[in-house]
Amino acid sequence: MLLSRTTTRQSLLPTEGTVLRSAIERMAPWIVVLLAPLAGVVLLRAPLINALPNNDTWFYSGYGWALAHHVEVFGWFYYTDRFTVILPISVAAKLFGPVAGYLILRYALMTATGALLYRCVRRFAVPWIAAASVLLLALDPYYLRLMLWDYTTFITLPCTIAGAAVWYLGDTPRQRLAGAIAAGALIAAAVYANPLSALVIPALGAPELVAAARSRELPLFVARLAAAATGAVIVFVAGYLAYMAYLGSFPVEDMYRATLDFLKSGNQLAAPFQRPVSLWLKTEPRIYGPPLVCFATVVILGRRLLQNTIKARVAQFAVAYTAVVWLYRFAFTSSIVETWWAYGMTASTAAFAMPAILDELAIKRVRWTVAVGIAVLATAVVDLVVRSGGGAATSVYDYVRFHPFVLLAILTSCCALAAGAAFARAPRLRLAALAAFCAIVAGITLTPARYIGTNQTGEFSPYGKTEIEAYDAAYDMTRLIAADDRPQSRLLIWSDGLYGLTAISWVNLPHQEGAIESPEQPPTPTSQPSPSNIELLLYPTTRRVLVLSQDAAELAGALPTVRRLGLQPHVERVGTWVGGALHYSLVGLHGTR
Amino acid sequence: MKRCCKIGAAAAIAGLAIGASGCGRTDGNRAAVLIVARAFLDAYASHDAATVCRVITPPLATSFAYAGGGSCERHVASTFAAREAPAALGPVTIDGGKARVAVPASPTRFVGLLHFGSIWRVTESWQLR
Repeated sequence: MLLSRTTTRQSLLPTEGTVLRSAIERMAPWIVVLLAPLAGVVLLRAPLINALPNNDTWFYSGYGWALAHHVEVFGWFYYTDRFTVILPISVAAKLFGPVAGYLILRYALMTATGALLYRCVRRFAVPWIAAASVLLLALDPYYLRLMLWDYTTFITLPCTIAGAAVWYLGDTPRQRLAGAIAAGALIAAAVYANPLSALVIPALGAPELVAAARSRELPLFVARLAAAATGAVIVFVAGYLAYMAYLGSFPVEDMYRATLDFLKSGNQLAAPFQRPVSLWLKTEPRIYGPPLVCFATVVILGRRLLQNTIKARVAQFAVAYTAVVWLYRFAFTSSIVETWWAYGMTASTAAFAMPAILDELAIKRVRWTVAVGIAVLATAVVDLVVRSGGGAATSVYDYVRFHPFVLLAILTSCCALAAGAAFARAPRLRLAALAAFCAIVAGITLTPARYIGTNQTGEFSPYGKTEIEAYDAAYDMTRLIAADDRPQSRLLIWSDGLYGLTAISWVNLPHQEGAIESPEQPPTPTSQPSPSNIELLLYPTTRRVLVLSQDAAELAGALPTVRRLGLQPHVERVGTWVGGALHYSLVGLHGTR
Repeated sequence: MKRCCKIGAAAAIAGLAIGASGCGRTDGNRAAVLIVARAFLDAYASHDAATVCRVITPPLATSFAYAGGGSCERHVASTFAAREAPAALGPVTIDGGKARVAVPASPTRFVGLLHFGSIWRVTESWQLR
């Protein structure tokens, strides 16, 4: 009797191998979450920094690295108000240095967003579907590209996704209010970073309002909204206090006045950038990725999309996000969402739609392990092939762009594939349709943007590793300028253009006269300054110039120009940045003006 | 969720502590306003039309150029009175992007400046017409 009882107990106890296997099974999806950002960078062959082809991204780097200097010298613009962008850049650079800080911040943001998405998806799906969702997000070129620069999107996009994830994650009796506060804080962080992010509020709020009404929980919904608003206030107060730590005491209105003025004049500012709808629809194939995912969500989930379950609500949000962006595009006079970086926010759609789609296919008796594998594999292969394709890939995209019927055929077949994944009788056919669907969506999403684009797949920078050296140089330059540049004794950048490596000049806001060279005029060599360049060189407060050029001869050319203007140049420092590719010379300007 | 709140609070405190290292700057905008106002008044007193046109706001310079048949300097030169000693400047008041420098010798006179980009420029003065 005693013997048999012992034997039974031994058979119930897990063996060492079982414990290990169980631990691996528990840990493996989390390892995927931790490695997903790296997988995205490798498979999309993404440069870690993508700043040189763009201007606006440098404003935030500059403010992050020299906030006190920039506010004193330049004052408050709408981009100064974006404290949820500027403060993380500042803190990361101070803690780890510019490049390491940038990389650690990106990894932390992407991993945290992935972890929250994983936990949100786990509320309705198995661990591997949740892990695959995080991997698919990392493989989404919209998402990865918007993370890999200092422009506002590196905060708005992860905060939008994380905010929505936390909203659903917190929808449990124990965490309803705390979850809503955290969700409100994250979404507010996105909105403070860029007001356009507020599009998430109707996209998340409308389906949730309907869900609350259907389940007769409207008072609870209102309470959660109030809690979310509290989270928004907490972030604002924290941002104000942090700015005070940098700047000393200042009126709280400074934190939002410029943004409100900017929003009031938004339509006027946007007017010159307006594009006809037909042109947008015909020549930007990249915009069709999110609508295709929405179509697949509707077709595959069918009636289940209208339920009140967490999965249905998550899928409703995914569809609503792209719908709201398209509604905004057609209903408002704004050029903003037409730009690839603003439209890229629709990565939120794929982030939440794909797990719902994969889970639904599992319910429809498709082996979920195969479905997950095939979705990830198809996306990864297309990402890698297209990004490795270089000029050949852009030629194919150009062909599609200029042949609307080809584009129409691709979109139609993609819709048919979504329907195939939903309705084909044989599971193998469904899997094949799913693979082809994922491949086409990945391919379309990588299309170079025609409007303010760089003709690069996924809009990744063509400068590769140089970007990192340029970013480091921009930091050194900003620190050098911030040390000596004061309102009463200006140190202005003087370069022979604001493109290529000299694009780093944008950290010192050349459009706000932080540089001698005006971005509104054609580039001029330092030996032949334009009248406006001369005006700034002779301005009563100009005391020094930082001459910057990829051509060393340009530096020498600046000195005779200064003498011709009646000033005595005094070279205080010379050197190179970007591995010797960018020359600089700090020149004092003496003499009466 | 509580842990998240704690992490958030810790991050905010760390941010404040790190940010505090940026304190201690004294605002140089008053000094800049005085330099530009001084340059403007000196240029007017010494009939230096080029410097006057350099330190006034671009819209004002454009309107003067229109009035001067394409030359701001020509119009400004036409407004010069007999040479007089440059006025002494008094206290500076700054309100956002606007500044005003008083002239103690004459309570009704002042020099008004605007922050254009990152540069203070003269937009208003008793000499400008």
